[in-house]
This record gives sequence, C-alpha cells and structure tokens, in this order.
Amino acid sequence: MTNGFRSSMLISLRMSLRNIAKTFLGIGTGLALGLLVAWFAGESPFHVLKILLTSAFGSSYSFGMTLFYAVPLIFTGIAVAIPYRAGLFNIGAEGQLTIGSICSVLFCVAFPDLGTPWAIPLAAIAAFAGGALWGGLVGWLKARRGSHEVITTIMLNFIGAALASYIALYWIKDPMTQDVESIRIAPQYFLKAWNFLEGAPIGWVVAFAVLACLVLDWVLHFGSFGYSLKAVGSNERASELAGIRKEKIWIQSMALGGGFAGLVGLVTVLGHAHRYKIGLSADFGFMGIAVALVARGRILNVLWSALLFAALQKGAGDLEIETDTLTRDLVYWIQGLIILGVAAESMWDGLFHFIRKVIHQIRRGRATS
Amino acid sequence: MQIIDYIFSAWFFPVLRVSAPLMFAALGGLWCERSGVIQIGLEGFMNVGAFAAACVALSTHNPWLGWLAGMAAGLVLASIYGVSVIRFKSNQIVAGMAINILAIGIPPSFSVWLFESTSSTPQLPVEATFSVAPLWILLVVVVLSAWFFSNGAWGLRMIFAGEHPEALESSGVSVTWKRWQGVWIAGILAGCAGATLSLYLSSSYSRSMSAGRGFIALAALILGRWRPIPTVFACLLFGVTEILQTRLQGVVIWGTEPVPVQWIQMLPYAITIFVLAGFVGRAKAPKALGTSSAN
Amino acid sequence: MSKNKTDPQSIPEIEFQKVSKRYGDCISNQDISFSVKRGSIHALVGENGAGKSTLMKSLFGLIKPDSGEILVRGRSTRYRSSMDAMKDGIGMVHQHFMLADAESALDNIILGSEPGFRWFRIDRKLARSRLQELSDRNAFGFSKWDSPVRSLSVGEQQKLEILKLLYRNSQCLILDEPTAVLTPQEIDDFFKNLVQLKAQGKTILLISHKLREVMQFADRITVIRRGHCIADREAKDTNESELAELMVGRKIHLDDLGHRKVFANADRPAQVEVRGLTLLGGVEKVSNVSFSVAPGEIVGVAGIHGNGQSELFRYLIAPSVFSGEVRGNYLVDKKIVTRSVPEHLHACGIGVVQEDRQVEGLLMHESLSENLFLGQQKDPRYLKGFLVSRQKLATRMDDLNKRFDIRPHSHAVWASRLSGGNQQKLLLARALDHSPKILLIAQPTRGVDIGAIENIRKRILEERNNGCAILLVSTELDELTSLSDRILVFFNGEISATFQRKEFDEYAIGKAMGGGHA
Repeated sequence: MTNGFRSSMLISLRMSLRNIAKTFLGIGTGLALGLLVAWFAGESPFHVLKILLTSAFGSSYSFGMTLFYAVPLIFTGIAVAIPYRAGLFNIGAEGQLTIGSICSVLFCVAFPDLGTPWAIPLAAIAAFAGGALWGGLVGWLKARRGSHEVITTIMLNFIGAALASYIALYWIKDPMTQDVESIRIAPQYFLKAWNFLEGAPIGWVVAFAVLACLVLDWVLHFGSFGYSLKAVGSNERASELAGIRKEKIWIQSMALGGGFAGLVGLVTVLGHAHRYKIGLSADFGFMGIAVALVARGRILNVLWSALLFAALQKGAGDLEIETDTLTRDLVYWIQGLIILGVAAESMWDGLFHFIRKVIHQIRRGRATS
Repeated sequence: MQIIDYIFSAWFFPVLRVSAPLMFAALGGLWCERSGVIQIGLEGFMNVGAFAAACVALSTHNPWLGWLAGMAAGLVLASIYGVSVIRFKSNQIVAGMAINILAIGIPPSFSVWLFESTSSTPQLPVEATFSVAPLWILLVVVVLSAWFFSNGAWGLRMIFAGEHPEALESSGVSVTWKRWQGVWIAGILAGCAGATLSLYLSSSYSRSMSAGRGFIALAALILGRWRPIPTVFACLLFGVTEILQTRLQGVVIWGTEPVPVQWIQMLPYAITIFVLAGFVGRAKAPKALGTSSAN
Repeated sequence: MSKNKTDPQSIPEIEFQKVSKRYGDCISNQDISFSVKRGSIHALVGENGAGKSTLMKSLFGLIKPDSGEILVRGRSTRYRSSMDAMKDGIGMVHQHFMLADAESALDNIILGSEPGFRWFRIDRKLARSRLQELSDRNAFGFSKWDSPVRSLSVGEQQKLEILKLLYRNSQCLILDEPTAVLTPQEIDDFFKNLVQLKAQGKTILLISHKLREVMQFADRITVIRRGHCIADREAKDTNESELAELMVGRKIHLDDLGHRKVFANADRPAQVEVRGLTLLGGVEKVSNVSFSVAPGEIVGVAGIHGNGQSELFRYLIAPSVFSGEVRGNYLVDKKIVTRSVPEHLHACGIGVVQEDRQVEGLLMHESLSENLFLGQQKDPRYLKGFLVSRQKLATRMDDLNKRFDIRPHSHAVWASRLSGGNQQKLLLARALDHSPKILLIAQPTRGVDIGAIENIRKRILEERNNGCAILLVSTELDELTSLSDRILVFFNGEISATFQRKEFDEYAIGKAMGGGHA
C-alpha cells in the first residue's frame, strides 16, 4: 500500500465513521424527544423505554413478532432506498405494495391448482410485477412528462387503494362476508412459519429478505447499474452528458423499488391473512420512508434500520395496552423526530466542527505550555 | 333564471366551498416556495390545524377561537419545519415528509389525552361552526396575495429570495428572515385550510381528514406556475373534480349498476395526475427553490 | 501621510492599515497596507486565492478583519454588514452578477431600495425616470428597463450592476473581474464608462488578473501575493511582465508556452469533421456549420457567449443527448457519428473537457476515483462484465493525481474539496486517461489561477505536438491566440470568419465576434 493509498483509505474511513456517528446521534435525539413527549403525557420515560425494549426483544415470541414487522419494512425500505440513490423520492411504496398484494392474490385465485414447488415463487413474482408496474409508472411519468414524483406517488397511493378495493370487491369477492375481502387463496400458497420462535408467523421470508438486502447492496455497490444510479442522483446533467440515460434510470429504479414494495404481499397475504383485505398494510409503505432515510439510502443499512422501526412498531402496540395515555400513534412522533434528527446535517456537522476546534485548542495549549 | 340559480347553487357555491381549503393551502405554499423553501408539509399542517380548530371550537363553542387555534397549530408545526430546513439546512423534502409523519401521530395522541378516543372528535354544535365566514377570509387572502405579488416591495423581495437569494442578500435584506416568513405563512394558511375543513365543510375532525388535499394543493401550485391567480383557478378546477365525485355517486352511466364507488374515489387523484402530466410537465419553479440560503 | 488634514484631496478615499485575517491555520491577509486616492482607478491584482477577495470583503463589510484598520475618507470604519458600507458610499460589483433572470432590469436594480410608499405600491415610474437620468449622464445608453434580465446581453447586465451602485449614490465602486465575460468591443465601452465615472469624482477599485487592461487603464496598481501586499506602485512605473512576475513570484510565460511542432505532412486527413451541421430546437441556434480538425492541430472557436458555440460543443461531446433536430453530418475518423452515444465517441478515441465543470463535468459529492469513471463507464479497463473495478480506478486516480499535480493527492476526497484549478486539472486528466487521439475542450482555464493556467495550456500544446486533433472552445481570446493554429469565429449560429495563425489580430477577431466584417 502506497502512502497515498493509505491516506485515501483513512479519509474514506473517517467519512464513514462520521456518517455512522451522525445517524446514531440523529436517532438518539429523535428517541429522546419522543420520550420527552411521553413524559409530558404523564408517563415516566424510563418506563416507556422499558416497555419498548421488552416488547420488542423480551422473549423469543416478541423477537419473532419484531422480525415479522421488520420484513415488510426491509422490503419497503429497499423500495424507497433504491430510487433515493437516484435522487427520487418514492412516497408511493404504500400504493406499490397494495397493487403487489392484489396481483399476487389474483394470481393465486387464477391458478388454484398450481403445484407446490412453483406456487409460492410464482405468486411472489406476480407480487413483484404488480409493484414494479405501479412504481415504473411513476418513473415513466417523470421521464416523459417531467411530473414530480412526490405528487404522482401520493396520488397513485390513493388510486391504488381504490383500485385494489374494487378488484377485491368486484372480481374476487368472498361471498361469505360483507367486508371488502377477497376469497381465500388455496393452501399450497400459504407460507409456513418456523417453529423455534414460538409461533410467530415467521418463515423463510426473513432469510429471503436479508439475503435480498445483502445481494442488492453488493450489486449496487459493485455493479455498473449502481454506479449509474449514484451518478444520476449526484448530478443529472453530467451523467447525461457522460452517456447515462437518466430517464431509463428513473424508470428502472422506480420499477425495481416498486417491485420490492410489492413483495410485502409475501408476508401479509401469503404469510398471514391468506387473502386480500383492507388494512393489510398497516402503513408499511409510509414507514419504509423513515427506514430508508435513516439508512441514508444505503441498502445494507436498511437491514438494521428496519429492525429499529419494527421494534418501535411492536413496542408501540404494547404501549397502548400498558399505559393509559399513550397509544401506538406515539410511534409516528418518534419516527418523524428521528428523521428530523438524522436529516439535521448541519447540526451534526456543526457539532463535529465545534469538537474539532476544542481538540485543536487543547492540542495548541499543550504544545505551547 | 332557473338555470342560473341551478348553476350557482349546485355548482358554483359548492365548488367554492370545497376549493376553499385547497386555496388557503396552495397560497400558503406559494409564498413559502416563492421564498425558496420547498413545502410538502402542507398536508401535515392542514391535518393538525383541523384538529386543533375542532378541539378549541368544541371547548369554547366559538368558531373564531377555533380558527385561531388552527392557525396557531399550523404555525407551530411550520416552525419545527423551519428550524430543520433553515437553521439546520436539512434536505427539504426529507424534512417535509418527516413533518407529515409526525403530524399523523399528533391528533390521535392529543385526542386520547383530551377525549379518550383516537378517532373523530365529538360533533361540534352549530354555534361552533361557520356558515360563510371562511369564504370572506379567503377573499381577503387571495386579494392580498395577488396585490402584493405584483406591487408591494414585500412581494418583490419574497420573489427574489426564491429567484436569486444572493442578489437579495447583497441589497441588504435578510434572505433567512424572508424564508422564515414564507414558512410561517405556509403554516398559518394551511392551518386556516384545516380549520376550514373541520369548522366549515364539516363539523368535527376525523382521522386524516385532509385526505391528500395538501398534495393536491401542491399540484395546484405547480399548475398555477407559482402565481396567485392561476393557482386559485387551479384550485377551483380540483374543486370541480371533488364535486363531480359527490355528484356521480349512485349515478348510472352504463349498464344497470351505478358506477362503483371506488372509481369515483379515484377521480380527484387521477385527474391531478392527468393535469400535472398533461399541461405542466416542465413548469418553471422559482430558480433557487430548495437551495439553502445565501449564507 | 499628508500633513494638511483639511485638504480633502489629500485624504485617501480608502486606506488599509496592517489589515490581517486568518481562517484557522490559513493566512488570508497579512499586514496589508496601502491607500487608494479619491477619484482614481486603482487596480488590485493577484492570483486566485491570494487574498484579494478577502480584503475586498473586509472593506465591504462582509467579513471582519482580525487586526488592522480600514479608513474610509480618514475615518476608521467598523462596518457590520454590507449595508453599512453602502450607506458610507462604498459599493461592490461581484464577478458573478447578482441578477435574477426572470425579473425585469428595473426590479433588479431597485431591490431593497424601492421608491414610493414601498410596502403598498412601488413607484416604478419614479424609479424609471431616475435610472434613465443616471444612464444618460454616464453615457450608458440603456433604456430597456422592463425587459427581463435574461434577454439582455452580458455587457448590458454589467451596466445594470453598476447602475445599482450609482442608484444608491456610491462614491467608491469596487469591481471584481469586470471584463471576464466581455468582448473586446464591450470592454472598450466599459472602460469609456469608467473614465466617465472617474471624471465625476468617483473612486474605482478594480480587481483583475488581466494585466494588459490594468496597465492600460489603472492609475495605480497593488499586487497581492499569498496574503501579503507585495508591491504598490503607479502604473507608469511598471509593466506587464513585471506585474506577472510579482503576482506569481517567478517568471511566467503565458504567451510563450513552448515549442510548436511543425508537422511535415501538411495534408493530414481530418480526424474530426463537421459537414453542414444544423441544430434546431436547442437553447442556441447552430446553422450550416462546417469545419474539420486534423491531427496535430488546435482549432480554436471564438465567440460571444450565446452565439451557438456552447450548443455545438454540447452536441459534439454527446450527440445522442441533443433533443432537437439535427441536419448535416458529424464524422470521426471518416465514420458517421451524427447520433452516436457518448460511449461510442469515447471508444473512437475522443477525450472531453466539459464547459461547466461543476454542472456538466463533475459529481461534486463523490470521490475523485468515482469521477474518473464518469464518461468511461463502458471502458473495458474498468468494467468487467457488469462489475466496476474500483481498485483499478483508485490506483489510476492516485497515479493521475501525481502526474497532473492535483491536490489533495488522495483519490478518496470529494470533488467539491478541490479548488477550481484542481478541478479543471481533474477534468483534463480524465480526458487524457485513455490516451485519446482527439480532444474536445471548452473553457479549460475558467476561474483558474495563473499558475494552473500556464500548466494546463502547456499540457494542451503538448498533446497537440503528440499528434492529437484538438478543438478548443474558449471565451479567453488570448488563450485562443496563444494555442490555436486556426480560429473559427461564431456569430449567430454560423461561422462568420476564419483566421489563420499568422493573421491573428485581436481587434479583427473581436469585430467578427460582434458580427462585423473584416
């Protein structure tokens, strides 16, 4: 290693450490502020923290449930993170996962007699395709018409929800109930749970999600597609002049992200409800935004960011039960505050600058004395 | 005479009523974005404003106090946003989404603390609601916006804050202060929008009652090219789609069954996309929108 | 210092006394002392980063010096903001104009000092008459007060900037690199205006690196180098080369960049050819342009900004990206590339230095090695299958950093950390990375200090001598005259004149740039 190379690596390392520190500080601040709110509501912040921690990690079952919440968040986190690298804000994970879910149910209903080894993977592909279509549409609108993705994704969220309800109600309705529910899917499509987590409905989907994360991170980091994403996100104009088709990247990144959002259907439909119904999602799409932003758009970080928010989600549920004044809505407070904390770049930069100045002064003082 | 009467009562006034929250929010967003700060938090401001207005109107039986509460709530939330993006230079879209997420949690939490329920607030008595006052307030706001946009020095400076902040700064006017003004106006007007929702268009607050209006207001702003009068017309257009939505319910267009309610629900949102994609596409936003201030 | 304190003429308009300012470890100004006489044109010269801007910012109230005094008309000043300086009659025109494109000339000038009962209604009529009076008095010849700034020429925009100061009764005008973007004719006009202003008793502080102009028009010249005031003398007591040497600390040969190889075979086949090229629907118009570039030749492209050269250049480096209609042909090595993608051009052996380094050339928030990859994404040296070999990029970048003296020497720093000159060197290094036979270069030394300018121009000449075919688009006329074998002048989207090296004449070229004929 030449000297130049070594100093370069040191610089990269320092930058990574700074980013990690900033993220932790941001999360810590958000959490602290959220606990402060709890305190205003009359609960002891320590009590709240304890409930959150035991609820998320207290027993194997709890941990299993946390993982159960984490898997969809990994998917929607990826769904937001991939376009984020290309400079796009995918607020539409909610709609993408809805369309993905309804597509997988449609597939299951259309092919009720499909054999065992093929059933689940094909249903998964249907889910991915549905989400990819819904996401790719946004990318296409931006590429061809210049429509801002923040608005189109949100509009498509509403449209997607209505569309899915329509399909569930008019095409594949369950005749036994009045609710907006589709008929049940055939048994070979059910995802089986693992046994060692005491009944938490978690199966191989966890492994799949983690693996997908790792592979995707590796591919985006070392592959040319990943480079193109990064370049377009960094400087559209320069990338365009260098030969990268930014319109193609927009469509591809939104489609890829949307597809992963669609895979949430694996967990909610195939793994849990075994049908489509309203309320399957529990805001996974929206939370994916928080997950991706805290992960700073890095796919690898989505893993533990999803775990963090899943723990919060699980804990919030118990908060509602175990306290009088707090509901699971506190988790939105905490999420919003965490994002604000992580996004407050200049606050942390200022802090580091201040610390560096202080260290500098100390060193100078020591040198002269 | 009868047809004029019909147009007025069945279309003009309902459209005006329904567009009112959009117009408040869109004008708030206009001044904010004109000063150079992206504003996607209108939805959150509106929602919290609606809730605050309903709460205060309920307890004081006075819609005006409720209105003020709505404005105040919007102002508080906008200040949090302002601190994030102006003081700490956070990415404005990220911070805006964070505020929206935060705003989802605020009304239910307060609702539990005050009323012990997380869904709608109790119904407001008649004297706590408005019958027509918000429309007058809206008129004043529209006229003021349009006037100051072209005439006053204040409007000119706001425009420069978004077009060329360095030029404004070097002429001795603080860009930061102008951007704070923009953010606060967005908060106040979006709060008014929320109050209009819960005190005028209905008489209670229900969960997530803004239903995406904050974003539709943003679309109206883009459609109106960040100018007051065109933006107001864009809001009216979206108001028409909303009225269309209610008129089409139960109506039979083809076959024997009425149009499924889901298609009607989609209408405003689908039209928003069509309009955005069809007309505007590459509108000219204020040049320095989204960049941090000159210093 | 004059003993007679009551004589206003003897009190210097501005006096710097041992002004110092440091930023952390970096000394920006050290004990700078000199004075500026009222009613004179005083030039401040120095390299980028020498400390001139810092000094002027201290004068203008934008920053506060650590020590020393700045006296204005004999009184010590403690400006807390530029508004204080303005109230004291000191105004500054920055190098990059502070004008909002979409707004009218009038609004841009009166911003912040609007007449009338301004909170209710700005009295634009009053402003218009006042400005017209100012314009006439100073022979500006301007009257398009309601036109949006983007429709005005650069020379006119500069007049607006000066009018801003005159409108606010500035007595002392600080002008930062005022002629950087003007044509020779506009420069003439500008200096005529300056002389007129001087005749009215205004004091003018000129910051410039254009030594020839400074010598021609300034009364007194102060040289700043590395934060110190190196020299302060009357213009008649010095000359250009002495100034250049004082600025840099060594002898500079900007006009003599080295040996120009004469190629034996005068009829070398063209490497790059453009035949009847017309570009419609872009930002600027290009019509029926034809030229060719042979190996070992530098073809310079001159023209006032906005006459089509930039559009043509953008097209030449990325034909497929141009969104309008293309007529005619573009050939490289006899092969048609009229609608080719940039990767194809790269594979044909073309290296590119983009016109606007921050907007078109670099990924500012990425490392240098990531930037090296941009434009070479399909290059088999770095791309194996669909995997990017970052190791190779890193080592190659470190290598290039050393060869081109790009500081900091590390491949991992972000491009935004580099100074303008180093960023420009990075672009050149990247362009030369795959040993191209053809170079398409635009504005290679814009915003770059004089030491790096010499360095970059020498490199370009070196490549020419190695047989490279080079197209050079630049607004710096002396750059074109010192480097090119031929100069093509663009006016209104067409080539209006061609000059061979032996007939280079700045005035004739300038005239052709303005649309006149030889």
